[in-house]
Amino acid sequence: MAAPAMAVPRYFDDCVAAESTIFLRIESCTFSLQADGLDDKQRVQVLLNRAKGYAARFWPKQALDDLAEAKRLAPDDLEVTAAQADLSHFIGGREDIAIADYKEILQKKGDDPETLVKLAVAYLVRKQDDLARQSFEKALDLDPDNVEALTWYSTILTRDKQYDRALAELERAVAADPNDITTRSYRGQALLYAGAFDRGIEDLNIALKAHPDDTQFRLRGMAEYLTGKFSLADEDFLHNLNISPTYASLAAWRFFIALRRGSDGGAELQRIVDSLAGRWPAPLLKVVLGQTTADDALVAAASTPYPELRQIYQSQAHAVLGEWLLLKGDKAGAAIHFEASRDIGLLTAVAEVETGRSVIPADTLVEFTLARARLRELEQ
Amino acid sequence: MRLLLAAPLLVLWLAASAWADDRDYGPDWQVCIYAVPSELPDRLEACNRMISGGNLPTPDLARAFSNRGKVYHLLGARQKAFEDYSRAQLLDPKRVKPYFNLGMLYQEDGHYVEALEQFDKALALDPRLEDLQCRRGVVLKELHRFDEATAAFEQAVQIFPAEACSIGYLIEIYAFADRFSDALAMVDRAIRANGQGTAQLYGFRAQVHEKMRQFELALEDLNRAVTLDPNYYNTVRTRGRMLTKLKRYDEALVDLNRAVALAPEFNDAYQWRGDLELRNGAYHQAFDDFRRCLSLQRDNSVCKVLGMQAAFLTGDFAAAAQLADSLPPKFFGNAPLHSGLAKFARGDLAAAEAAVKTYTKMMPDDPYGWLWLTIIQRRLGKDAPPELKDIAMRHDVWPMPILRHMLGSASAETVLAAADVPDADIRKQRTAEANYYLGELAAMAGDEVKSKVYMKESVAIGYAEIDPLNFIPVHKDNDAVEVGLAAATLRGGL
Repeated sequence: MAAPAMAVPRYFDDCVAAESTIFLRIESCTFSLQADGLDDKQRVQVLLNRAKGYAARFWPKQALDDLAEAKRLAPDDLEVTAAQADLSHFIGGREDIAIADYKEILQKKGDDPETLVKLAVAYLVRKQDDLARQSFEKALDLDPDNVEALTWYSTILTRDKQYDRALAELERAVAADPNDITTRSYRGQALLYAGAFDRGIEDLNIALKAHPDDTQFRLRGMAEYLTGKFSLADEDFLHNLNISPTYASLAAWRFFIALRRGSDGGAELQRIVDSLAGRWPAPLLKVVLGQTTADDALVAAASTPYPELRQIYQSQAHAVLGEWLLLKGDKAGAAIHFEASRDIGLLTAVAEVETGRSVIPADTLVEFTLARARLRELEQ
Repeated sequence: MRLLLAAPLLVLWLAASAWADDRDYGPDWQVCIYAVPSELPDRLEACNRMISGGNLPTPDLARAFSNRGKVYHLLGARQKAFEDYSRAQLLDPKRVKPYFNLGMLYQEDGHYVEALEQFDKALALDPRLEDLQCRRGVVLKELHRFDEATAAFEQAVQIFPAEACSIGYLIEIYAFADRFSDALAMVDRAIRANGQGTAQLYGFRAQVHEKMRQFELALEDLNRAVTLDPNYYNTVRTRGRMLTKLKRYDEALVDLNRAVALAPEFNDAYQWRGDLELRNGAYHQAFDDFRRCLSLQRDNSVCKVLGMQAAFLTGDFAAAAQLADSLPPKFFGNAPLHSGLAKFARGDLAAAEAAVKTYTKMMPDDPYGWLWLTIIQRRLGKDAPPELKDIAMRHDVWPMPILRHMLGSASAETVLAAADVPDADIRKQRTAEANYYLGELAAMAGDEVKSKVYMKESVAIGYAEIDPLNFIPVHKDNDAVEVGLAAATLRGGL
């Protein structure tokens, strides 16, 4: 009598079933490895599925271990390589492994936009902009309307100060998918840099409605300030001020709004200065309160030991001082400060080094938008 | 020959220089600078007299200010400490301690940037100052400058191979990066530098092995540590915990009893002994130990959670409710369910239904909420909640088979077979739970005999807990409620 066929493994089916919850996937894959008699092919499937479950639970070490074992069993399996690359890239922080794996996939499978974009983003994270640019361009050759590629590519162009080209790519991206919120947000910013405030506000309205936890309210606030919508601007600046002291320089813009409306925002500004207990931007805010000089504020901005933050503080100082002089009628003096702020450009730094505990990044988005707009006005 | 003659003279000169730095100005100086047996207020007075005396040379005046600052620091007068450290720095910018102490003051207040600045200044003056690099590393870590923090800790153990503070942090850092061999090499170097090693160093070695989940090797290290210092509380307690992990409960109890005797004022020995007793079926003793733990530290949430489980197991449902209510639901998501179940156990079905209903709204993905709502509503003569069908259809883990059994789509045998999984702890927990729920359902169906058989089996299996480090996610990690309720049912209390 022939031996009966081996019983179907108990746990294997649940492990690989698409409808299994993450809990069931991890548990049944684990039990399958312990109890089911698996061949190498099944074992690879189980490891791959469990790794995806671990990744979903944010257990990167366990996921990477499973994928390493799967890779050992099936070194040429591109599904394993892709999973390992994605995990290294999105969770593990090992861009070197991700890049090697994406390259291997492209070499074996040929170019495909999805992998090229992932490779490009991995390069971006490693600050290898030239290689990132090449990969994005290849992806866009194959798929000119690839929204992800266009959006990410625009960030390189912005970093290279090619603002018009960045905006053009983002226009294409929004045309390809008007519902992509990230792209809307990026285009909103690019429109503000270009001085197209009303369109920029429209995009930011959509983006902020979808992500009310975002911190870009101040950017919309600046566009509103520049177009005379002071109540809305005041509300947006206040929103960011309530998030973190990282945005304390916005208090100056609320002071300017009060001034433009003929009221006195001095008491509120003084309250913020007091709460900062000498920390930046207290020296800057004190200038508009008449308690110190512009030079003192610039010295204070330059005295922070962290170069990136130093430039951000300097940009904040120049933007506020320029506006302050403009309000006092000193157009020539204002222009010098706006030029300095514009020349510092778009920067981002993590303010945690200064605030000790905060992890909210500081940037020059607001200042850069203002400086470019004001310089355009002054040139006219 | 001349060189040989010169050597003793050089030694004498060096000794004299050292003495010159250690001038003695009498008893006040001894108390202020060297803290010869004295209380802090006496030290403060002595420093005050030395400072106001007006006859100290500048470097010694700086020392007096620095030491008075330290006294203020210890007394909690932070502003005065700050002022004295700053005065000391001004008077003698080359003295390292005022920078170190001011750095610590800033660090304690959470001003990490300022603390780092002070530690950096101290480092420039004396890179070999003990504890400095470790403190600096901690500050860098707080500032999220992890690579620099690691470098600081590593520099510290380069200079002082057995420096405990940095070793402790490096073990965590290396373990996080899977660099276990580096961690072991570091601890071994520390042990070699120390001759035969200390109990603390072997404790560190055990910590690495435990992180590697090599519990037997960890136990070997702890055995050495206890041999070196049988009265060192930390290692005795940790060995007790390790033996519990290895399920060697009798030996574990000897160690944990000893740990309690060594430091009856420490809550964690009670916590670990309670944990052991829970696993060993000594539920009343466990409950007592968790109560002791909480009397020493009222907000110890581990003792609250385990105490609540012990309360269920001993049938003290009032205490279980009280402990469940004291747990913040933000961090202990299923505490409100336990609170409801304690009400169920006390016979207040209406209150239990209301609590569990609220829980199912708060945590709709927890199948235990729906399971319990169904049981309570059946007891109240109501139909099962309409959501039960959809929940039971989910392709999910335990207790899904019980939900399906309630809906009639799985037999009791299927439920028990589903509980029979390869992992021993999970099998034990699920089988105990399966038996309780099958017993409860049999009783509802009027089959008291069958119900008793199931309930007895649940109690016989007893308490089981799933180790989270198995990395198998579960909806509930222990069976205390079910075993406790089975025991209460058999006692005729439910």
